[in-house]
Amino acid sequence: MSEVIVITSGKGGVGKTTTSANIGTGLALSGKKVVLIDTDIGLRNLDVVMGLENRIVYNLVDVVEGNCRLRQALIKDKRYPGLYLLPSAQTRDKTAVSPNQMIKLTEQLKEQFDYILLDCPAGIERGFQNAVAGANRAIVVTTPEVSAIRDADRIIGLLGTYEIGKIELIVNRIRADMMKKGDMMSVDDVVDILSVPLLGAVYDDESVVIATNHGEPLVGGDSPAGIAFSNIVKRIEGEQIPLMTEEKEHSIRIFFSTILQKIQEG
Amino acid sequence: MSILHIFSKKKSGDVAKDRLKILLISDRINCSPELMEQIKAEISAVICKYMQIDREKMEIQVSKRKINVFW
Repeated sequence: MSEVIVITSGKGGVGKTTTSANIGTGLALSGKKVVLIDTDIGLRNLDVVMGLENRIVYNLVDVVEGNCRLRQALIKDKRYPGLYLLPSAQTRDKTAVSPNQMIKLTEQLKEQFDYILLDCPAGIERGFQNAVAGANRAIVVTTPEVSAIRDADRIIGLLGTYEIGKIELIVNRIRADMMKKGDMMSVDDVVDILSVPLLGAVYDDESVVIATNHGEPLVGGDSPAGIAFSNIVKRIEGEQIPLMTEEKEHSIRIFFSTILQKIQEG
Repeated sequence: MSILHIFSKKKSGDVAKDRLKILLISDRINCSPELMEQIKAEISAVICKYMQIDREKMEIQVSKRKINVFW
């Protein structure tokens, strides 16, 4: 049975696209057939985060309007067998696609793919309604900041009005040093406020910027964010992975790098 | 950041959590903080009409499922 998962947040810039790209790649690495759909019509970005921007011929709007066949618009990621991208249109707006058309599209994709991941645009208007329409599972991405959490809460409320069986949370860009000082809400605090099961927490990690610069995923690598995304992928597939593994691994890494630094400084 | 923030004992993470808790109550029931204050004031006025309670010491908490009155 294939799953249609929407990755959403309400607020922009919290890491939806990075999260989508890494979950998609991670699922493909574990042998699943995955299609990522960029539903942000007018502001497409998933292609460039995945390093597939030079391969676009047709897009989501072309498929919906019947300008091409679905398989013509799907870009196969040659680095990862089983990973496909359906890019968004850059020169149109959100009204070019309707929620009903999205339901039809996801139904069609279910025949070929194990996972259909929808990268949702920011906001709660048409773009959100399109992305959510065909989904049966939702991942809400937030950061430990008041604005992002407030918007996430609103999104969780709205998701409740759709036929979505499972809503889970990813807390992105957490910082161990700030949490230790009490200057950042802890992951537990965020979960407590939003009352949604936690799928994972991702460290604010400079390797995210570096990977995005290259158009490469983090998942499969040994950076703190890469490990976090790998664990998230395993949890999506139903594996029981303890939630703070990445924190422990990260603190060990910090511990050793501080020692190393001290030695080098003499 | 003011000097007040530097010397206050409360961690900014806790400040954020407390602010959010209050904010989300009004967001969730789609009611502005001003309107919430008005509701609380009217509830306390009604209670004080029938019971002898010091209004200054009364506290009313509104959440998604219930309204608590403490005194």
